[in-house]
Amino acid sequence: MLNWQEFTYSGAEATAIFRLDPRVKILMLVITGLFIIFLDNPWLLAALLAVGLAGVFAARLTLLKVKIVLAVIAIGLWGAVFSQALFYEQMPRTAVLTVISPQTPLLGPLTGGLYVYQEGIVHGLRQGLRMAAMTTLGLLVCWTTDSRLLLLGLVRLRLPYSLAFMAVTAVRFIPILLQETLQVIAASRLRGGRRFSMQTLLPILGNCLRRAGTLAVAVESRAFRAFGERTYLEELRFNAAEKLLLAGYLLLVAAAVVSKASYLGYQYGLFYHSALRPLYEFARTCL
Amino acid sequence: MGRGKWLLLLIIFIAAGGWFILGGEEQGVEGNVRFGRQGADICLAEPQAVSRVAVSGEGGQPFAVAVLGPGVRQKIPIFMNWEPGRKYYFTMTLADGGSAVLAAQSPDERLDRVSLKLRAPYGLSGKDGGGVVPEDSVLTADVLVTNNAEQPVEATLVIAVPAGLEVVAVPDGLRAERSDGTLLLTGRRRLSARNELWNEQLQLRAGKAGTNAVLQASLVLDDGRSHWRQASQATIQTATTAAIGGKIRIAAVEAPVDSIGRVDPKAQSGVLVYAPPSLLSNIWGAQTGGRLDDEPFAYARVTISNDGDEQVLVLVAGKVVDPATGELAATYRVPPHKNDGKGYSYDVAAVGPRGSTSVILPLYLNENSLLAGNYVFRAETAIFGVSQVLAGADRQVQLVARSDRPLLITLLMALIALVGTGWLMWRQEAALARFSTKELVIISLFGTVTFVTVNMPQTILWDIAHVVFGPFSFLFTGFFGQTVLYALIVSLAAVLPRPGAITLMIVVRMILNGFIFGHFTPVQILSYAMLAVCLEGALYLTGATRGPRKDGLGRVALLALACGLVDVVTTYMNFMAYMTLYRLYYADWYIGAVIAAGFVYTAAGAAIGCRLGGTLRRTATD
Repeated sequence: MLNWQEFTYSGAEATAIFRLDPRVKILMLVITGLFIIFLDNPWLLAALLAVGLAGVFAARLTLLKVKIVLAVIAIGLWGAVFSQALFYEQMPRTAVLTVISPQTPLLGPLTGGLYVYQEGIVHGLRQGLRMAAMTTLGLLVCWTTDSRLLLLGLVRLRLPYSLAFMAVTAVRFIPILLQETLQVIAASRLRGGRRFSMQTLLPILGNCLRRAGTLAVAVESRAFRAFGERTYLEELRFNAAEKLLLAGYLLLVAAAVVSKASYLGYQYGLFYHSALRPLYEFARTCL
Repeated sequence: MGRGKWLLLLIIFIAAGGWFILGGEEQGVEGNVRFGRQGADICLAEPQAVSRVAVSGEGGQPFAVAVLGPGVRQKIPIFMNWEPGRKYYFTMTLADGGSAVLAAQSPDERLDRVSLKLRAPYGLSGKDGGGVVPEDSVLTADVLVTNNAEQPVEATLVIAVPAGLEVVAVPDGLRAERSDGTLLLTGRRRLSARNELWNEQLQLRAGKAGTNAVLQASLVLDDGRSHWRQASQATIQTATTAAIGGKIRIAAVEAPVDSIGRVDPKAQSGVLVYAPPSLLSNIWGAQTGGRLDDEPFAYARVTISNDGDEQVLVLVAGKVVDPATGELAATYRVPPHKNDGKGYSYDVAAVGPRGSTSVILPLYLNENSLLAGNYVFRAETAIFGVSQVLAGADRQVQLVARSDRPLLITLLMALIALVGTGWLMWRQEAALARFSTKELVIISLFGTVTFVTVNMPQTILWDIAHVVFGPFSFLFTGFFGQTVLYALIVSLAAVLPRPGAITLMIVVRMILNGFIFGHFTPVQILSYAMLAVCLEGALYLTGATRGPRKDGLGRVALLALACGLVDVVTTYMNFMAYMTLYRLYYADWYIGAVIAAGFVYTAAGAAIGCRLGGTLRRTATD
């Protein structure tokens, strides 16, 4: 049986990363998400992935989670490497394997030939680092933050409360729906059916609709949406170190993004100023 | 002052203002004028688009007018009779309406009545017309006689070829006789009119290395009233190829430069940017300029140094090669009708003793086989007439092919996501108050079901399928990614036919995906935002979110088509976002195949969703 708790937040709060304000984690993740799309330097991308992995180890996550992170990274990298090995469109490119020869009937003329390119493998690996870094950091944030606190953080970052409630409901119902899905599939198989078909959805969704009525009565009886102002048992407050960390990271990323954006503006012929040449050079070589 | 006079003054003022604003403004065009036997050459410092040149004297009297075709020029020949020691004004009308004037004084003395030029090896521009050539090589000696006088003249030409040189073939019209080891080639001709030319070209074979041979040409002239002589000579030195080549080296290679070899300070050294005209460039007013395969795309400057004491004629070739194979790159192949179909650019340059010369080589871009990336610009030099390469230098050049389409689409996605997020934050509870608590729970549970049945299998299966099925994995993953997803979306629209319900479900799914799989990436946020906007629009237009309706075959088909089109748009946009933000490459055929398969999967999903939603509405709702 699937142990859902193993896969989500562990609840251990022994390390500093768990104690960080969820807003700090969310904002840093969003900032990193923006930062990472401006980066081209593979060493910086690798460094970000290393930071994520270091965080995973520093957070003392369970072995299963560490294995999941490594598997996700490996599969993600493989996906990027595979696609880019086939579709790499830069020079030089050296074909090391022919997947579809241009002479192959139908597919040959359609694709113009499909090859595995040596340089594409390297490019895929580099670009895969970008996705791997983001996924690792995302998983780190999820696994080191209670979903209740994560939602509270989002609400404090102006996510509408009703939406936050919907997200909490959805999260809470994942294990139940998973269980139900497996039961419906088992029942279907007992009757000689397939593992999964569209008919599987009908009882699951029917149950959801019936459950919705009960749940709505339950939450409304506890004054859900009864008042304009909503109070919380826990309040989130940034401490000085968190403020410093967030401000410092924001400044660093802003400087890098401005440098790269100005370089891209120059490259696209949108804006050029000779005084910015050192900045262009820095962005080109370092970022 | 009467009203009529005021009116007249106003008209004069307006006319003067109009003349000042619209009239030909004189521009600062730099250049000089060289007087020659056929007129004058205007040499401009920078190429200009000149449409007309009028030449006048000091008193303003006109001398010549030249009307020029479109295009930019740096050298403009003007055919005119000039008088010695007089000042001339060259008024140039520029294509943009402006004008420029260059003033020049003609030489104090007229040219020789008949001029004689001897150039050997032909192509060298040394003062004595001589140069060094490889031993046993064939060279050309060029003799040019020009009549600069108005009256006819009888000319007798004698070319003395010394023992160190061998004449390969005696030209027609010249008589050969040997005298003291020297071969004398004699010819006679009447030059009747002004500017009449007499040109003879001799094919000579150089002797052994170390010999110096002085080729002489003498002219005896008679115009009926007087006799006079003219003479010219060229010293041809012979050396081994190794001796010449050892002193020739490529000092520098620079690309890109402009047509006259200047480096654009704005351009990045070694980076060539190919930017076809685009909407974004037009919006920003950036000048990209359309490219034609027939026109040079950029230029490279090759500087050759000569450390020897003799002038050398070298052939400079610029080949852009594939760094992996070393073969000429198809992207940069010179059009077949240019440069003798060799596929690369070349030029001949005379490099003076202890000096250097720069050669500007055009680079062509074959747009049909354009492939961005890194290439090698290989400059090679050879002595003119000898195929052996003397010196070579490689310079890495990067070709950046800028396509604005993925960027524009990604920006559009970002704009939609920003507007959507802003609207959600601004309207907040007001937007959600339209839904009852039960409806919110229904939406969130549909979000959960979508996550469990679509996102979870998709996340795990997508990459595994990639391993197994390679580029055709989308045929397998489309069942979860599109069929099940759209079946759930359409069934939710059937259960809750209200605008906004689908968006809320997508937001819930996005939050879950972020919470469980850590997928809080910009690409995914953009992707979800686009899906929400497109689906809401399409479902509203088809009436699916405008209240309960009966599911007929036509309605099902319409919904299937609408959802299919939404998937086409969003899938295409997602590819563009991945290409822009993650620098990934996808072949056009692949994108097309994914979209086509996605359309089929989605349309099937939407049709199933209609049936599923109808059953749910009948059996599971109040």
